[in-house]
Amino acid sequence: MKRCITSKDFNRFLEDSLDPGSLARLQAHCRECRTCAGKLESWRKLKEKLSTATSIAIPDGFKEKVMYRITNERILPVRSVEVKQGLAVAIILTAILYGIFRPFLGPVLSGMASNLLKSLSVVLYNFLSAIGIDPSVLIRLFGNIMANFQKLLPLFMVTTALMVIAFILLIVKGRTVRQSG
Amino acid sequence: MQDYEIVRLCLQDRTEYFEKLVDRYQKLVYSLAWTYLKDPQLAEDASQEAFVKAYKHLASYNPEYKFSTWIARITTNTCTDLLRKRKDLCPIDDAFEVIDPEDTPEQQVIGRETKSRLEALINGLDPKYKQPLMLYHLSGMKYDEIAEYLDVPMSIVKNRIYRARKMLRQAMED
Repeated sequence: MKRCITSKDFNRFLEDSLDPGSLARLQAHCRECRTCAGKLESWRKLKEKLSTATSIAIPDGFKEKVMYRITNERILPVRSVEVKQGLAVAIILTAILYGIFRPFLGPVLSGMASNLLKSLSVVLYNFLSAIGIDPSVLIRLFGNIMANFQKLLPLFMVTTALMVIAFILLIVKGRTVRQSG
Repeated sequence: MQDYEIVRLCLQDRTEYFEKLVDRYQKLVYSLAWTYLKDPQLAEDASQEAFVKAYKHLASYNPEYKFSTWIARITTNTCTDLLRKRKDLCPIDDAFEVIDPEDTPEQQVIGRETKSRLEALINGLDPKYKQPLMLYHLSGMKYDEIAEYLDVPMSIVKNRIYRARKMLRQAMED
């Protein structure tokens, strides 16, 4: 009797990856060898059961629904690697320059921040007055917070700066939308 | 036509070519979503969402990788986000549980006995064997695609699927 069929060959049979010659040899051997014929049968059963147990049907009209949805979408531009690298280099350079010139830049930057804060305070004061709220109440509240929690000042400055940036962006975006519309 | 060629055409505003990609990968995407969500409606929603996300980010697709593994990752992330929002996250070990969503009542009665044993056996497999086995048989992924998706060498994928089948066959004979 010829050499029996290995599990790996049965496995290849299961996934239809046996070449025609090997398939013919396997079938011929299984006609002579009862053991291998039994194994082939069990592998065949497994193949059938695997294909039924794991079968899954795509919902009707799935492709059409996807295609309909993408008609309302547009492909987003990708930020190129060069832009990302440039941004990273700029951040690192800025950090290095700030580290070197910190003794000179420190007072200048804090002066700028202080002026910005003052300007914002004026805007806020006028805004609150305009809508009928007494600014002194809020100023006293803010003064108390700052007096008790001085460490919060940088956080407050950063938050204010972010709010201003967001505000400007909203105005710019609104203008862009109006222009395109 | 190769996937990257279709992507290139889509990027040139030939949106209709995206249909070919949907055609090719709908089974993979839906079956993956199904394994994670185990709910036909949720799986359909997540699959649609995955295709829409893929379309919107086509420009960032890197043709060095297979489209199948790229969209499979998008699908997995979409399902994870969806489950996180719903706060009933299915453990990854249970994600590849076998359940047929499309069985009619008759099929359920006829096939239940023959299928249930195999299903139980598959579900009883170690996830490292079950996952590649299900990706191969349920999602219809090829060995190299599974290897890229799972980030393991193809030889390991082949070996695990082979061992999974061998374990199933032995268990069925017992």
